[in-house]
Amino acid sequence: MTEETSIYDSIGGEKAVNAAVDIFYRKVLADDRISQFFDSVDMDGQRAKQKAFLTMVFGGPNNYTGKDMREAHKHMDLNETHFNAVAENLVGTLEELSVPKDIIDKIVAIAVSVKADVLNQ
Amino acid sequence: MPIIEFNHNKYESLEGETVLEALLRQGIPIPHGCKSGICQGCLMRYDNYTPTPVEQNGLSASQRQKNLFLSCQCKPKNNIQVYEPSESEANQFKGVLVDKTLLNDSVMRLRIQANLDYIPGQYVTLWKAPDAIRNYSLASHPDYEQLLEFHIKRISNGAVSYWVFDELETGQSIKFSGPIGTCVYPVNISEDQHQIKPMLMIAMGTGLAPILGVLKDALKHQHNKPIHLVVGTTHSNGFYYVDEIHELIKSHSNVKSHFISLEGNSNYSTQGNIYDFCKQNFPDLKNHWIFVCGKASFVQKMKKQCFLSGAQLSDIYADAFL
Repeated sequence: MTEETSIYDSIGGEKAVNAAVDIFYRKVLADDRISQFFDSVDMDGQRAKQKAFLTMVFGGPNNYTGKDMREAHKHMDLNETHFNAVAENLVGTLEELSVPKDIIDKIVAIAVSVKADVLNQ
Repeated sequence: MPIIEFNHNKYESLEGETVLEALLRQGIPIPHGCKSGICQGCLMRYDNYTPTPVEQNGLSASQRQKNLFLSCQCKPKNNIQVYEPSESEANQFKGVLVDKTLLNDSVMRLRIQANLDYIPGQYVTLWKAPDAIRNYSLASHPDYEQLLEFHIKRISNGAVSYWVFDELETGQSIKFSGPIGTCVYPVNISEDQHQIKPMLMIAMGTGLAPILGVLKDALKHQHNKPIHLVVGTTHSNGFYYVDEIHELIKSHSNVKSHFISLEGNSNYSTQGNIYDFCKQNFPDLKNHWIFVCGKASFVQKMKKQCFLSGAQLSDIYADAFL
């Protein structure tokens, strides 16, 4: 956990999340593989959810448990393609913000760690 | 189930019911309008309760301090004590209709004499009756016009708009509450010259009313970056205030107006789809302030389009008419 928190701090904490969230949101909305899961009338509410997601994968303070992730996604009938699409957009966002490769790898590792819960496996 | 104590009388609530729904079901004539947390018609004062953010969404700091909340948004989990707010707590005021003018086939302009401190672009709630409450945006600017100005679209079977069109007479007193809303020119940010961004203002139908208020405020604050005003209608015979807009912006070389209608042509407008027009003419909205006003379905779609064109969500100011 100490190491994960240090990723969050090293990329700038909440400021980094704020910089990333609109870029990430725009990418997933424009991605036909997954846009339907993100296309909500309540854009501000949707943005808040993505902020929470990014805070988690950046290793920041969050209250997510594996059970929450499972519960929130289980009715969405998600598969590997959906998960990979989110991961690609996450990497694309971080690259756009010039986050170093080794830190991107660590962030992706956190995202992958919740994969089984998200896909309800 | 939780008991709601309203003005010291006790009422039972059902599972999943809001405070407003429970009281209406039991025949208590609580004023209400949109039931969506927008119009603030159903405001109440609470005792010994901690409201959730959504129950106070859009309320002013002083209203929060007075323990006001939106009864249409509160589904009580425990017993709750609530009271009818006073007129001043609910920001109610009276206005007198000075002028009523038809702007086109289906839009009526009302000009009202009233004492109201407001920010251009905000809206107020018009109370025809406790169960006939509607929100209308201010088109006026206190530095430009002494009277409050509203543009009211006739809605088929609309209880309030038919009254405005067919019954309301000049000299009549009208009850309002407000003002409400944050779709306004960002004055605080604009004080720092480096923070000022070019603006794209998109109005559909009577969405022009709040857009005009904001535009006048931008001009008043000497906004020195480009401003594009895009006015849309279904048919070109639906445009109004065309001369007024040209007059307003003629001495401001940074402001351009565009009139787009889905059908019909005129010598000042272009026939086309407003979404395509904006996409083609403003493909990159990074670092722009966006204002979008009109029907909810239009605002939602246009807001998303502007976001996908690069605007930050926090830079998109939207007013969706219910």
